[in-house]
Amino acid sequence: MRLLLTSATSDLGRSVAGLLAQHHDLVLTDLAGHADGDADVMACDLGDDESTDRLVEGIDAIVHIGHGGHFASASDLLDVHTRCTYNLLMAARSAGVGRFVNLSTLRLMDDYPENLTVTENWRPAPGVEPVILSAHLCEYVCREFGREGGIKIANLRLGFPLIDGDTAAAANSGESAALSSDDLATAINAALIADLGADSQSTDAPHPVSFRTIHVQSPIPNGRFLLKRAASILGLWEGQGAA
Amino acid sequence: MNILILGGNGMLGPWVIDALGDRHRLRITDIGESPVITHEWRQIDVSSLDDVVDAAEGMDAIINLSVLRPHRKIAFEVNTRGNYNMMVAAVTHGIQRVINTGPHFQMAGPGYEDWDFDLNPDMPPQPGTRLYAHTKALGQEIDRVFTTKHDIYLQTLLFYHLYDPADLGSGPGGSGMESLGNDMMTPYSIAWSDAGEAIRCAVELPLGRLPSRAETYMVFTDIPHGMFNNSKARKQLGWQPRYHLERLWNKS
Repeated sequence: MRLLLTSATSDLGRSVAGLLAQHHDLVLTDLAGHADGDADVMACDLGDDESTDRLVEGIDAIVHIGHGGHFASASDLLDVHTRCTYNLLMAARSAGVGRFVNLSTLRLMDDYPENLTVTENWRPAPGVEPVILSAHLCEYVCREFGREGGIKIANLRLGFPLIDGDTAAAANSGESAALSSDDLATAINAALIADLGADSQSTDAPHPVSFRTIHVQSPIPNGRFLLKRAASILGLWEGQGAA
Repeated sequence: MNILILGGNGMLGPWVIDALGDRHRLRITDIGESPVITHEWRQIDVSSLDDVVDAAEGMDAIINLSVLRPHRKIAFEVNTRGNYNMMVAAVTHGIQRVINTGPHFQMAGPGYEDWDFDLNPDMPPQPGTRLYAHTKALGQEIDRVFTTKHDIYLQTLLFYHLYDPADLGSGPGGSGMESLGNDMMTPYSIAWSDAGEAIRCAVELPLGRLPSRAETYMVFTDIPHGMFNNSKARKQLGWQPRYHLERLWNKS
């Protein structure tokens, strides 16, 4: 699959690129200010122009860093996660890109006490800190594109912190919402091909689902977030973790 | 009350100034040139955090009338980030009352408007991806999130088609007389002066009478379509439309 990865020079972007490179033909991109000087990264400011259109030509799916990319001012964070995401989705939809995987964060649910069985059906509770608010707004942009159809959007809320290694490494971290890099790779690969309507309750009528939020943390004992939707849609970790 | 008005030079600005000018001390701001007014004036850019924070000093309330429709980059800067700047300004100066405005479809986009009736202001927003609605809805969501973390009361008034009853048909965008009988435009219409009066009602409503820190109102005159519901604006704000714009929907 030919994948476009955004914010590719950020720490998270480089990690994700390393995880996906084995199985996919990766096109790396970042804003000009970050990509300049890196020959492997296509510089694009994700504006409302032909450069964004060219960026998505021939792309099968986009993996978008919706949280945890570059550090920036509040204005720049809001700009990247609203306007740039909007421009990218608009270009992708027009070009017929089939799928968009937004990498968001479970920190949007961090305000809920740990004893609660928080799932995707709980309302996000973002704060006003720009890194969190901008992730929430990025999801908002994705949701409205998903509502209209034309591109399938998997919104993965990632656990925290990201732990290098496998599930056992996440379990040994002592963090109840940890996500291992191996599990992140597994989840993204599954989200690229999953039937987003797989858990639909409407069994009789056609139910084209084009937007789904899925909580993704490592399936560790006493994990903080339930993983039932990851099991039903992504086919991962059935019966494991907190579920 | 000391009131900061953002986007005061727009089409709605003069009507809001007319409704409030004799009752409050106004600080009018806009990115454009100074209008002919007797109130305090500042030229600012709402997409500049420093501009908005500076302009809000000493104010008791902020009214946001700023809007940018067609240009994609500036629409996000004004309609989305402008709201962030406004809320940071409110937090910075301890301003409790914020009044935001926008088009009805920042809430009731095609997902509602093409399907349903009795659309009301307490529905979850479904703006869709049309630029104007989408960017204003993002701004609205920023405002709402701020009210969950700070002691700020947000009142959002949603408008759409505005008319001068004395010259019915001279609607926004130079629609002129051809807009008469255009049913797609009618179910959400109001006279300019009634819109200004609704904002005055919102400004002067005691904060203690608001059921929550984020209330939204659909503000249009009484019309028989039943597509939208304006009862909350009437009941909660105590607002009464003076003009019913019958020529838009009554053939006789």
